[in-house]
Amino acid sequence: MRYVCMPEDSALLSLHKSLRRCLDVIDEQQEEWYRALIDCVPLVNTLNNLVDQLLICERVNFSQTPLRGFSILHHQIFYKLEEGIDVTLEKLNRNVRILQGVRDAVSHHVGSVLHVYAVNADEINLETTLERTANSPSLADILEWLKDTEKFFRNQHLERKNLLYMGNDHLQDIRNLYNTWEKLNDLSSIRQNIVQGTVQMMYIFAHCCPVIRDDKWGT
Amino acid sequence: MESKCTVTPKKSALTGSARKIKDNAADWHNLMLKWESYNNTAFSAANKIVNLKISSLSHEKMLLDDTETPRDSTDKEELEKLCSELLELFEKQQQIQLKMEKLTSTFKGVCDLEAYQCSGDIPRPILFHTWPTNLFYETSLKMSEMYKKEISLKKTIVGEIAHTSDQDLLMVYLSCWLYQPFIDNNIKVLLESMLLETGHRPL
Repeated sequence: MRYVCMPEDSALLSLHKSLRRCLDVIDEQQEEWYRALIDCVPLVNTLNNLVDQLLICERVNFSQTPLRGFSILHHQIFYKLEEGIDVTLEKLNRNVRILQGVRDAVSHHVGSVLHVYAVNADEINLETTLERTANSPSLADILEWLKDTEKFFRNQHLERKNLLYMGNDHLQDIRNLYNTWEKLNDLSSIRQNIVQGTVQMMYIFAHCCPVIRDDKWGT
Repeated sequence: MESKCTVTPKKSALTGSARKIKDNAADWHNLMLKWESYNNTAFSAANKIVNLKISSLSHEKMLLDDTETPRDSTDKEELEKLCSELLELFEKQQQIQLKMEKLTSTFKGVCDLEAYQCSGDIPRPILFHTWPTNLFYETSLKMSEMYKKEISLKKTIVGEIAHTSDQDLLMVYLSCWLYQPFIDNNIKVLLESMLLETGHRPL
């Protein structure tokens, strides 16, 4: 006997597949995100250290020290330190581009899930969308979590990218970068934990949720 | 069949000036690597000296009396040990710098020999790809001058680092040691060009 799918079942099946793909991508991408952020820590510290050295060199009057015999030393060391800053900023930019890649991948897949939902929204009952039990969230909950996750990566990337913008007073900008980057890391780790927790929960629910449970869809 | 990318024009039978120049280029490469290695180790010693100086300066500030505490004598011993270590490494760098000068004078000798052999209308040969022989000498001289200035700066730092009580100046010494302000960044391009020309690097 041939099994005939109801339109709602078929819609939920598409959504389930899209959701699974999305969760896999988020799981994989957040590891890349975490690695890139870890790589940034020594770079941010180096930048701050270079600013310290530049400011110290500004304070010291070379002509009144044993270094007075080296006429262009002052310019040379400034040049080297500034160059060190440029090189480190470039490395940091490279890492922020990795963050951007993660943001794009997550946004793309979350967008896909939302698109699949939007396309099939008419086929899915509102009751089914909102159905929630003691051990499983509703489809609406899951979609909302996904949006929160996407927002987390988007905002974090934007804030870090903005910090890398250097204006006229680049030494002050780097100081600001150092202080704010640390705070973002603290905040990020809290939010990151929430995102990780959410992704794990979604994984579990993807296997037992009545809305998207496996036995119903035969996956 | 010889690989196109690794062969030099006269790889099989390099003799005389070409052989000397190629060996000199390899020596330059090795000396620069050794210099960097000693520089990093010496920086580590200099860094320890500065930390020790700064901590003993703050310790002195805390003590109102001038009595010598056990900590003072331990610090002095440690400082002396680190200074000897730094001096030893500096002397090794000094030897490297002298070898670099010798390499430059060898290049000069090769140029002089060529000038002698090719006096009059005899055209000067291109020993490798495109460089005339005097370009090797000019490049070597440029690089050697950088190291000469740098070793002179390091000599001042080695002499002063343990006798300075100005913390800012101590930090400047460290920055100078690490960033080697008189060694231009284009030195790597100069070296690599020389290695490329002499066939140590594939084209």
